[in-house]
Amino acid sequence: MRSLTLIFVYLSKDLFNRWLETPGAVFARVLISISLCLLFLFMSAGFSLTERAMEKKIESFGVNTMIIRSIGPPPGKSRAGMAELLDPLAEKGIYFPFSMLYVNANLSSGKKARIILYDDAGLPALVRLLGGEATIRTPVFLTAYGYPEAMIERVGVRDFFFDAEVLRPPKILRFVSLNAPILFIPRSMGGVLSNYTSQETVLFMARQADELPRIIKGVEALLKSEGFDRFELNSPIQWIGELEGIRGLRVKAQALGGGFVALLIVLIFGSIAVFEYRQNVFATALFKSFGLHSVPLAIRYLADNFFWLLLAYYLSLELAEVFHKYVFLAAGFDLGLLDLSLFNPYQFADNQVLLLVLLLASLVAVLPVCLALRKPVGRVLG
Amino acid sequence: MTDPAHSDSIRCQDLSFGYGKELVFDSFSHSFCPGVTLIKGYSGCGKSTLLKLVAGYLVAQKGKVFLPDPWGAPCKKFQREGLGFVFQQLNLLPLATLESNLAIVSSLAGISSRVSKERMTKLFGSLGLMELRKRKPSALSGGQQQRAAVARALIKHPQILLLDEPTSGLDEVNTKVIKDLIMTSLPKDCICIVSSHDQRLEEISDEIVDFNIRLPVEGPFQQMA
Repeated sequence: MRSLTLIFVYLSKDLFNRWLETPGAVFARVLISISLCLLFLFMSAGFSLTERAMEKKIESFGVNTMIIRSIGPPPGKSRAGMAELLDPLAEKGIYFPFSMLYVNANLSSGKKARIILYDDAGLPALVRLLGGEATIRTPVFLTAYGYPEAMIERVGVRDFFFDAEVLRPPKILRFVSLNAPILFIPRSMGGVLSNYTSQETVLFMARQADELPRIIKGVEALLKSEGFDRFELNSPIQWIGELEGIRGLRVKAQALGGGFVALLIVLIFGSIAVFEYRQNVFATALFKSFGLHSVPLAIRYLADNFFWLLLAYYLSLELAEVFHKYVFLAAGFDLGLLDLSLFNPYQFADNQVLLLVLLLASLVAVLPVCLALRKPVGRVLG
Repeated sequence: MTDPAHSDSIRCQDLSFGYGKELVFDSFSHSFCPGVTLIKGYSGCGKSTLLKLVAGYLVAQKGKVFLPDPWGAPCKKFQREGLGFVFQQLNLLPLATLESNLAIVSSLAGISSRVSKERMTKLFGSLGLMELRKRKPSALSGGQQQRAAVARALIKHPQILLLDEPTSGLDEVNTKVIKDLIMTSLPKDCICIVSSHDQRLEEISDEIVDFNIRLPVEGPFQQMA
């Protein structure tokens, strides 16, 4: 034990001496490691934020929801209307067919609102979508953010004017128009608006989410067989597949990025370790000549690498937190997603993959020194 | 013939070694008994190489080295506990004081701190290094470094002491100090092999092996000899 302590003290001295003699080598190692770690951390965080954005989207739309839009020509002799065709869906959940006009309404604030014409038959479904009978007091109403609820807003559509009560939009309506206001008008009150060009649309919320994939297949098959050349069917349930895809991509990117980081660390740390070993070869061989095994000598180089890599790892986690908002705002992420108190991808425990990569790389970087340590003492010392 | 594995001497049996294709010596056999053996010969004749083979710092391409009991063959434990080696060139740890240089070697040999300090005091006293014991090698002259290296080799009272040109480049005073130390401090039954072409060391030798006569490998020095 005493011998190990003395050797430890000597090797530590040797280590500090090297750091003081070649500060450039130390800075190069730390700065390059920090840069590589930051790249890896931001890449992983980018994937995590994309996943979270997707999860939030799915959560807000509801996993049991689908929307179908007909893009082709309006119903006529060639095919039936989509609302009639899909009417049996009403038994499986909330079924709300409507027409989305291609003209917009003008609000008093100067904002534009999308216009939905709904049939009277669709009113019960609409009430359920909006969260209960009590919410709808007038047949013409406006769902919009930033307006006081129950306020009567005078809305203009070309030469027509409607007094619409403002309602708080339920999340599911983001599926229809994202955050844009929507003016709901019963077809019976739409007058000439019914003649305007519109898009047949159906919004459906299944009673049971697990039934939705089967329903989607059935709807697609039915619409194709009924002559709907072009239609668009969207459902958050399809995004779950995309989410899985993103997760798979993240794993691949982490593996590739980790490999890249490891390779560069091995090359840089390995080269510096070999360089220092060569400068130190005499003292190392002398220790071996005293009967010391090569292991403690190799540990000296390993400890050197570990120390700087762990420091770089810690600093990169701290720096990543500092630059997180700037980097991802510039990358176009929503500010709401970037609050580190809600979601922090730079926690020590969440980045063990990177830590493992660094530790493995530092081990591999010492291999050339381990090989060099096998050289017989007699070939080094004169 | 005695069993080479059980003996009190070092037995080199058919040793062959070369750096690259050129053999330094071929089929060398010899027994080194307790006492001082001086190996002399021209530069490059293999004196240092032989010491390194005995120490286990080099591995023979052919043949074997048999060490006295309990070692049998060169190994790490032997290097730690049974061997004292002084290299021809600088061989002190540069960042350690003389005391630490000796302490590291004695601790590796398993010598207690108390015994180590006693031996250090004695060795530093007889080598005139007492005042310099806290200094690092870079603050010492060549002669002082050489004496310190001998002290380090002797601190563990080795069973085998190998000295490679211990007086090379030293003046009369330093040479005498080292000679006296070898004569007075060698442990009982210690096998001491000194490789040197310094004739001043012949007077302390019990045996002289002259590599000039042996001329193990053909070459330009054969004619010179």
